[in-house]
Amino acid sequence: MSTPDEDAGRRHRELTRLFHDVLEAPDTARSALLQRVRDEDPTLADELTALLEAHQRAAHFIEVPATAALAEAPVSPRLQPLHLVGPYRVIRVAGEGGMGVVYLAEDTRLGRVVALKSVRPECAEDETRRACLRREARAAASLRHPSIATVYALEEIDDQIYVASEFVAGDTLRDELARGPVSTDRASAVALAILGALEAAHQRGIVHRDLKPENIVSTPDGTIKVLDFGLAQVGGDLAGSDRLTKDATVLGTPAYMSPEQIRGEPVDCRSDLFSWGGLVIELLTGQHPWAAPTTAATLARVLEGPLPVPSMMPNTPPSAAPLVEWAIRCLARSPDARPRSAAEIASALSAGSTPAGGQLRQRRPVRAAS
Amino acid sequence: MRRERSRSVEATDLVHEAYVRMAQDRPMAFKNRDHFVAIAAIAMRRLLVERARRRHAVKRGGHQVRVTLDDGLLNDEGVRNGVDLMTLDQALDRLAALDAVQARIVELRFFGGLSIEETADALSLSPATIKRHWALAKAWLFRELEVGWS
Repeated sequence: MSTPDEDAGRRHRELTRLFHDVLEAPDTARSALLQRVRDEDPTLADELTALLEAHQRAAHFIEVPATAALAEAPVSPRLQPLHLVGPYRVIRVAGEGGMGVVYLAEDTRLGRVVALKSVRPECAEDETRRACLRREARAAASLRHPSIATVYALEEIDDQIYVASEFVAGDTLRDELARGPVSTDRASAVALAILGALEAAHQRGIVHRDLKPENIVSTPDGTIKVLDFGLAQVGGDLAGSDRLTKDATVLGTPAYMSPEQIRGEPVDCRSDLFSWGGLVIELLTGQHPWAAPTTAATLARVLEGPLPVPSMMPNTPPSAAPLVEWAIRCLARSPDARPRSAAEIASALSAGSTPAGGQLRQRRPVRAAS
Repeated sequence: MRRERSRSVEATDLVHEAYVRMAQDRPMAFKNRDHFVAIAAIAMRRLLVERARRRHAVKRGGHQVRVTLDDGLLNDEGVRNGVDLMTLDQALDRLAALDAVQARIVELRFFGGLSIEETADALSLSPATIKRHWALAKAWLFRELEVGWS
């Protein structure tokens, strides 16, 4: 005796087998095969025919993964060139950031060109969020460093919040990486510039939280500028909010996120050092150590994948050894096993020394202001 | 020039949520990468389906109305495909009762975003087997969803 479930399962297996027999049979043999099934079991033949017919029409059905579809969600409406937002005149759209659309605009009061970010309404819909935004912008505006794009102002115009900051023209590191790995000298220079920016921010308790090649621009005169300091928190502040995903949720690569960030735990400056480590390896090898084609696979690698070792980078010259070792040290899963500060790495790199072996450092790291 | 910049900040939310779910469901350490990926796909499925359900409840005051992934979440392709997440979820449960492996393949491919090869690795089956089961499962689900609509 078999249960109805077992019968249904057996029937489904039979259907699966016949489905493939027909699909793999030469065209000329198909109708004979179908006829044989029909002679034996007309109901099964009906189901088989319906499935084969559905197969024809289902070519695109669920082929785009649900997660990839999220990444291509529609963008917010955009302001047209010459549109005036308070004192700012829109020149053109410069890009789409985590918080909303970024415009190249002119501050007509000062005749100064700025990057004007419109903050998504969801990020500023209640007073708590607005207060948080103001606090973040104020902290970010206090940062003055040659490698940090300066935040000028937070503007509230017609119920819409904008952040005006220094407009940085140039290629992002992502553009540069599209041409392949960079030289050791270049990687060292970029790595040190970023460390300088991190050091300045971390001293003021500001953690970047979203350090990645897209957020770092190399200007035509060769200056490295880190964008959006502290502003990632504006997005991060919305964790758990359903509103955020209403319009344009995007699932990007979490490769640069630290394990503690992925777990939703509090982060401090060492989370930025983790991102820095991955970035440095990517600059030297052209490949992020945990890059994977899908979000799930990337997550798995960040949390559990093998740590990179210098021998995995045979094309990296010996002169890059200190840089590689500090980068790998920063990729430790436990924040306590990473270097304490950007300053520590920078001074060691300038002296050409590699990290001291094995010992965990437990000194209190710089905490984020919040 | 500064290019279109990645928008992964909001991704943090989904990633957190998926992670929290995984951790709640399986507090023990993941056995290996394949195991993790498999669980991540389940978490993504629940997350997306619940999200659709919540939005649908809010919008329609609880009436039974089809909510599709294109509802603010999908691109044109998805709109054309018109995948109804809640119905797909239920149909997938029915498929699982008939053939657990076929249902897992759909979970890994559609909700986990795995390629044929990655799915083969995760389930320790050959890519050819995955391809065959995937074709059948797609046709079967397509039909279930169509029948459900008429």
